[in-house]
Amino acid sequence: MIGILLRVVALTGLYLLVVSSTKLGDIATGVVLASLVVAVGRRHRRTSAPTPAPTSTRATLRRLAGVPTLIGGTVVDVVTGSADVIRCCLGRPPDPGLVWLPTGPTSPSSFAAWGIRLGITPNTVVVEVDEERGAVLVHVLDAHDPETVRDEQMASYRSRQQRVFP
Amino acid sequence: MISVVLDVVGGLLLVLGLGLMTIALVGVLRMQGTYSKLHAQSLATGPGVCFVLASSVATENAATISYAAVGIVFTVLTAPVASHAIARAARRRGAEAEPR
Amino acid sequence: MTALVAVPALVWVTVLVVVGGLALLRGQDVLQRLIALDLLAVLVVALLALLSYLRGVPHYLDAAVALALLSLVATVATARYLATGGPLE
Repeated sequence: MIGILLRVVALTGLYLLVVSSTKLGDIATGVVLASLVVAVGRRHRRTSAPTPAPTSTRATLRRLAGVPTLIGGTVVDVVTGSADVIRCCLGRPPDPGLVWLPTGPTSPSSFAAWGIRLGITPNTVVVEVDEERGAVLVHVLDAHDPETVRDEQMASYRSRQQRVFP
Repeated sequence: MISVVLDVVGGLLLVLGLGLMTIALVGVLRMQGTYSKLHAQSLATGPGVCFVLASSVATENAATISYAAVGIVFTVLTAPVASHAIARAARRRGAEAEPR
Repeated sequence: MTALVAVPALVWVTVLVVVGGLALLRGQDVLQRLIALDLLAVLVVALLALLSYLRGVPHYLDAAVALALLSLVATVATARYLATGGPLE
């Protein structure tokens, strides 16, 4: 229930940002359009996915409590990653190479979140996604020690993302 | 008072964003290899353009700031998609190296 | 935003667009040129945003967001086309 409400609020917010007004009529139009989109999305998911697992209100609230950590942690990752890439841009890249990051998230939406998190961070580029093995192939600028890269990324996944997108 | 503070903040964000774009361009020109160039490019397509759009706070115009916010949300969601598409094409075309 | 900040920024981004064109010409293969083209689109988005701040016309930012969208679609389509090995396979 909270999930549906959140989606409607988020979509209405996006609509209001695009039309950039807070008139009552615009808000009403936004709510109607957002509800339509959410309803269609739910119906589509019910027919395509096998069984959407029922989630309790407490579980949803616990996930929501992790969102600030997710966003803040991602911003920290982007800043440190940018600093790394700036150093490599102005100097010499140490040892670029491809690294597999195994045993990450389990569901498609978590994969999407992880991919966006890895992609928006400049020091990792997502090259290949293997959903069956639950692994992502990334390119990093300093790959002389793949184990360290793996440990760092998995630690970041666990501390930042796992609560919201397991 | 508020207006001066916003001007300074906007100016700083603008300088930061343009600096990131400049460094990204230098990186794209200097680095060897498709993947390495992608790292430099994502410096501009991610944080760089977000900073430039965020500097709209200095205009103090609600419409401008809300459009810029839409732009930032959109950029954060789509920049990784473009860079992943290019990286995947590079791997399919057999660019460099075994995974470690 | 005052013209004191916006005009030098516009000049600087224009210089960057020219250098970006150079990067486009210097690319060694088609993917590196695609990367340079994507970067150029981002630079033009920044140019449109700055123009909007300078003139106080919010609707230029609409054009900027639309350009970013078009550049995403173009990049993904071209990359997918190149990943499958061209039209002859």
